[in-house]
Formats: sequence, structure tokens, C-alpha cells
Amino acid sequence: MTLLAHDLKSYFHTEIVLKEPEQIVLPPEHVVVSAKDVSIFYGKKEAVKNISLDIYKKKATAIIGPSGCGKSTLLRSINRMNDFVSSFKMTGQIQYGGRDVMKTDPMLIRSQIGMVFQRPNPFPKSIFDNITWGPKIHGKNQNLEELVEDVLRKAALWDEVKDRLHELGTNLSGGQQQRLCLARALAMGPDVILMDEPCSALDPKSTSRIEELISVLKNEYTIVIVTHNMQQAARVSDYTAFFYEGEMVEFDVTQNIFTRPQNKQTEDYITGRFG
Amino acid sequence: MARHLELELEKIRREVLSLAAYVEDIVVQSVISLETRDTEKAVKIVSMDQYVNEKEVDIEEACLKVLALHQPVAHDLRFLIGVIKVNNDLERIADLAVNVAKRTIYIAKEERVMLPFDLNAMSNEAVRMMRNTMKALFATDVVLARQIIKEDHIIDEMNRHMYQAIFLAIKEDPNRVAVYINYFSAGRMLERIADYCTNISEDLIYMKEGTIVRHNPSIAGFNNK
Repeated sequence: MTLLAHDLKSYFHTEIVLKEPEQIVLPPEHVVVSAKDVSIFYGKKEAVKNISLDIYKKKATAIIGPSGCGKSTLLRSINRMNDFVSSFKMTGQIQYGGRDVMKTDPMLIRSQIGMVFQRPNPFPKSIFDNITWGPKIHGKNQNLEELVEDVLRKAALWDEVKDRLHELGTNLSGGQQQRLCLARALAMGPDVILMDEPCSALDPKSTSRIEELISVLKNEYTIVIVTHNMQQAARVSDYTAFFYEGEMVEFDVTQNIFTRPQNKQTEDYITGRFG
Repeated sequence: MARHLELELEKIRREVLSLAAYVEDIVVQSVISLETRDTEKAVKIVSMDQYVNEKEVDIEEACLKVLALHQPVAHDLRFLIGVIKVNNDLERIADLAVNVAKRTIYIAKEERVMLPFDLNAMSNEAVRMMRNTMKALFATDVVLARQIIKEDHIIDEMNRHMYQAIFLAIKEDPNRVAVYINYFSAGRMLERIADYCTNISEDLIYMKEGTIVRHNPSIAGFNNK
């Protein structure tokens, strides 16, 4: 065969290898927190309507939706922060590790499920005391220096504060205070970290630090984050739930929610058509 | 914010459809120039490529601007990704059509040969694929897009036959090898144009449905691509 004929023939002999589409399927034992038919009321107002949602181990799950859609209400019910609201009532069940959180000691629940709030709220005490306060209350008085260094490193704050551990935590910048609050939550050795709009009071640089931290921390902890910032949800989470008027409209792998949502309401919300 | 984004996306949609219509015209004219050995028309087609290149860059820059400023998601994101790919495919189609015109310029200088394959049928098929692709693109018609992907085998088969026929013709009359090769090359360009039409159709399905059907006939909705 001539070289020309060989070249021409090669046009028609290209093998095509088809790949199966990738799918993420997690077995049920990876569920850490499970909400089952949960409805939450403040007085007569139904803030959360019959929601069932599984939170997967060592994954970041984002809850998004417009103001008043019930996302923070559900988040705060996971570690019983709503116990302090007198008109609060919940039906259905939230399980943590298979146990009904409402029938478990709230102190135990909160030591296993830490929380970071919208605004940094360090205690008016030293950085050291902020971190060791919780463990001391729970009777952990051993190796506190090691604990402080460990959690401050995990919160990416150690290098910035190691020489002033006994200065007031409230003297730190907003971004540093939020990382101190995260370190404080980590000091209790939780499984799950709940974050209620943790970056809404922070500047872009501090926001970026927290987002980087979430990406690292989810290798070790399960994270649930409520956020108004959809780009943030897209960047940091593995799963996303979209809430609207107390109902969970859609829950899926984050990539699917932001590229091909199944529900029109989700699509309209994330593309800015409403909300 | 959303209204502003919608206006930007609509502007991009109009630009890419305008480019598509222009490229369709280049393809039709290049095929006519080849069939009629019209050198004058072929030279004009070659000069049309510059406009396509400039528009391609403009559209891509407009898409990048919207991606950077609006950070779109869901169907807006799919639309922009689809446009970037379709835009590139249109530019490549125009290049191929210009290449057909360049082959015409060479062929027209040479003495006519008896073609061993049906060039008209192949040209008509490439133009039909191109026109249907434009129809699908203008109407965001995924049913037609699927039909186009399904029908790509027709011109593939013609291309295979052309190869065999040209190969035998060169063996029989080696003195005319240059003309035959130019015809072969033009035929090959037509087949590639049809390939890009299927690419555009696949991108159209992604833009509308969010499903990547490329390389996967079972997902595309048929098994005999």
C-alpha cells in the first residue's frame, strides 16, 4: 500500500471508546444527620413544612433559599438551639447517629454538633479561654495547651495569634473572630459543624479564608452551611438543598443543582429570576 | 441583576445566530463554486473568512465577560458554554468551506475529469445538514438536533465510498492524481462540515436539556448513530 493510500485509509479507522457517565451513590450508613417528616412551628406559623433530608458524613451540605424559607430554623433544630424559643414546636424527627435529638441530652448533642453563627460572637475573654471554656465545663482539663494549638491550627489562626493567646478574643478582626469561633467549636471534638451564614458579616478576604477552611475541614467533619451566597454554596458544598416557603423544593449533588436543576423554582431562584 | 443578564444573553444569542446565518451562506456558496468551477465566487468566499474570525472573537469575549461579571448558573451557564462551543464550531465550518473554495480555485485551472463519485449528492447532503442545523439552532429544536445526529452516517457513507472510488481512479490514471486529491480533499471538507453540524446539534441538546450526549448514543435517545 502506498503512503498516500495508508494516510487516506487512516481517516476511516478511528476507534471510539464510550465512557459511562459518573454517578455519586452513597450507601445509607454514610448518613450522619437525618431529618424525617420534620415540621417546625413558631406559635401557629409553620416555618418548616414536612421536610426529610439526609446529611452525609464528611461532606459539606449547603442549604439555600430566600429569607424566611426555614433554612436557619431547620439548622438550629439539628443541635436544639431552638429549645430557647418559647413558641417553638417540632413534629417529625431529627436523628443524629440514629438517635432522636429531642430525646437526647442537649449538652451531649451540642458537644457533638458544633455551631458557628452569622456574626462572630467570641466570649469577652482571652483567646485561650475562649477555646478551653467548653472543654473545661465538660470536665476536660488535661493538655489544654495542646488542644488550643491543635484547633487554632485547624482554624488557620495559630500563626496569627500564637504570641497573644492571653489577649482578648474580642480584640481580633472580624474574620479572625469568626475563625476563633470555629476553633472554639472544634475544641469540643464535634462530628458535625453547623454554619449559619458564617461569612455574611465578613469581607471578601476573610470569606475566602473561611471557604478554604470548609474545604479542608470537611475531610474530617460533616458540615452543614446555610448561606445566601449561592456562589459560596456552589464553591464549598458537595450537596445542596433549596428551600422555599418552608418546603424543600430540591436536594441534589451541588454540581447538578447549579448546572441542571430539575425543578423550575430552583432554576428561577439560582439564576436570579426571583428571590 | 437578572434583567441585565437576560439582556446580555439575548444580545449574545442574536450575535451567534447572525454568525450562523453568515456561515451557512459561506457553505452554500462554496458548494456552488465547487460544482460550477466558479473561481470568482471561490475567491470571494476566501475573503469572507476574515469577518467570521472577527465575529468569533467578539462573541467569545462577550461570553467571557458575562461569565466573569454575572457568574451565571443552570440554563444561563449551559447557554454560554454551548455558545462558546457552537461559536468555535461555526468558525471551523467557515474554515472548511473556505478550504473547499481554495480547492475549487485549483480544480478550475485543470482540465475536467470524470469524477468517480457523486459530488453533487455529497454537496447537497452537506448543505442539507447545515440548513437543518441552522433551523434547529434558531428554534432551539432538540428533536431536529437528534435527527441531525442520527443522519450523520449518510455523508459518512458517501465519504467512505468516495475514498474507495478516488483510490481506484488514482491507480487507473496516476497522471491526474493532483486533481483527484483536490476533489478528495473537498469531499472530505464537506464530510467534516457535517461532523461539525452534529457537534452543534449535540451542544444544542446540552444547552436545552443539560445532558451531554456526545459519544453516547444511548443517552442521546437512539442507538444507531
